[in-house]
Amino acid sequence: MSAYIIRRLLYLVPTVLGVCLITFLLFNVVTTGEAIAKQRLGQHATQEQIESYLKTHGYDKPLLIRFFINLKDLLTFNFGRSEVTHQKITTMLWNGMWPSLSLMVPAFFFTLFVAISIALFTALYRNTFLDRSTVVLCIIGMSVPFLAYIILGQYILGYKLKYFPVTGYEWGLGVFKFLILPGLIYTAASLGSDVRFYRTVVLDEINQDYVRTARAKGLSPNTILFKHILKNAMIPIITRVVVALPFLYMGSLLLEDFYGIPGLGAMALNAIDGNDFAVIKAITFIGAILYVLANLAGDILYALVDPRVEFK
Amino acid sequence: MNMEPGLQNPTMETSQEQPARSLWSDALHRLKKNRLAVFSFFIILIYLIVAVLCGAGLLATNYDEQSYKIDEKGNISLNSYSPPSFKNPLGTDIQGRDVLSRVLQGSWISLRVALTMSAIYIFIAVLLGAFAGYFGGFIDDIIQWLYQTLASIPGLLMLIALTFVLGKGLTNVAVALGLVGWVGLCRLMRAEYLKHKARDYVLAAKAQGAGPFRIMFKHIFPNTFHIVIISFSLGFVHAIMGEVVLTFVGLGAKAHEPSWGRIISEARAELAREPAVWWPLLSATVAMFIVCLAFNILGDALRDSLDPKLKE
Repeated sequence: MSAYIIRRLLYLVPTVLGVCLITFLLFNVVTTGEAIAKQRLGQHATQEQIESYLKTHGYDKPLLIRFFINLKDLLTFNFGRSEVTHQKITTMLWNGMWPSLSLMVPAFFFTLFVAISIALFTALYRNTFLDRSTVVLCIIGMSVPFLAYIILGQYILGYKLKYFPVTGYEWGLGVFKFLILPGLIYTAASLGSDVRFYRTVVLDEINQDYVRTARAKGLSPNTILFKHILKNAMIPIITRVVVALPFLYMGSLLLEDFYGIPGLGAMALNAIDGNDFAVIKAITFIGAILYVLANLAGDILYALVDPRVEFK
Repeated sequence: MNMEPGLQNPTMETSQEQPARSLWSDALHRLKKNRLAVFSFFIILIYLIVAVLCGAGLLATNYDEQSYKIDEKGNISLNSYSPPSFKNPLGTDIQGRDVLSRVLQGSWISLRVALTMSAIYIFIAVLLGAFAGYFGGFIDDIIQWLYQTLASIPGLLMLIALTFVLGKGLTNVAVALGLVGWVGLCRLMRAEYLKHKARDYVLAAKAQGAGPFRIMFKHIFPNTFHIVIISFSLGFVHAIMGEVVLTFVGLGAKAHEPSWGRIISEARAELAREPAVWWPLLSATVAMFIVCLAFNILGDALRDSLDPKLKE
């Protein structure tokens, strides 16, 4: 087992280096130091101003040296300061992470629970009218743009019917009332593709031999569904959950913007508005690192959940 | 020919009078039986015709014309936010422009974004997938490393960072969508090339002295083309939704461009007015919804009839 984990850790090296390379290329080759300086300083910047900007941000050094400085900074999580708020970016990320997580973690797991429940339910009634109409509803749900869910949800449930506060955030337990509506909207918007996915997963298992055997033994449909099928469907479910986890840290750009939640998503939007290159770079890099780590965690989890996974 | 006697499909023998069909005519036959898919196909056809007519300047040419109204005192003012009427079936926007014309023009913008995106990502995916699958070895390692790295950067962040450094605007949104979106198709193509390169027809072509490029693109590619078609159809939805999100974030369409993303982004302020201006939001959302739904249904039907194995 430990040899397996070490081998998986070694696989991380090329991927992490690749992520560093891509972020570096984005901000040093796709766009150049001069272009960034001009955007930051405005059109009327003098040549001296541009040169001093390039010097203070290290753009005057050769490309290869810059790459290694960049690599060192990224790997030590030294992102510098925001060019707009002048705060340390690590502090900004830390502060923004909690509102994002407070919105996304409950919303995500609630959605997961609802989606798997519906998927199991439709699998019980597969090929009936109920099942087919669920599938149709899923495709319909997937075809509505996320922004429309947000705008209409906020307008109807928050603004018109006044069931929920329209926007706002506070630290502490009182935050709950602000998070219900965006959380529900997240669930509504994700259910379409989630239910469809989990339904396919459950249906794949339902045709397996072990299900037929269990049925022949005279087990009740519920026992088969929850004890046998759900357990075997765990691998694809874990894969999907693990891959989605890094996005929870990110929060949701659009939800946070609309509901005034001061998380990382809102921070990313502000950074786009203010041409804050350093912040965009830091968020991109952290997101990628979390994704890579989540995949590692997923692979270790498979090995724990499924004895068939070999450590070779 | 791998016609092992035990593997023959018994239904084939009973329907002797049915002529053998190729993959494409068989798929077409199955598609025709799916009435919903046929209906979706016609919706998409209408969408394409409308989009091209708009692009050619033959339809909805008044999308940028402001209209005016005269009140009781004889003052002339912009005909802002006039609700749906006989003259403007979907009302007017803040500058008195006809919403119907703007929504129709939006179809041309979305088509342009989708086609640019598809051209880029299909080209990259097919080329890299073919190389990785056909040559294997070191080339395969490099290409796999490339797409694993790219896949580990959260998609939306990568899109934002890329559009950000490429510069704001619709063309760059489409280019970014294309540069980010090739990973999924590339994986599928690689697997197909791996499978096909050992087939007899490839060995025969090789024996006749065909070079690797001729084999890859003249011989194998036509046999994998159905995967490209499926991906292309489902990719349209990504392009349309991607444009909306990136435009909302401030990276896509500029203020005067009549894209669906632009119309939906502006709806946030319009709904907050008293009385609420709901018609631009509703029109753009419904237009998007119909097109996305049609592409989702047709894409699913294509996948089911061309390659049932691809089902998630």
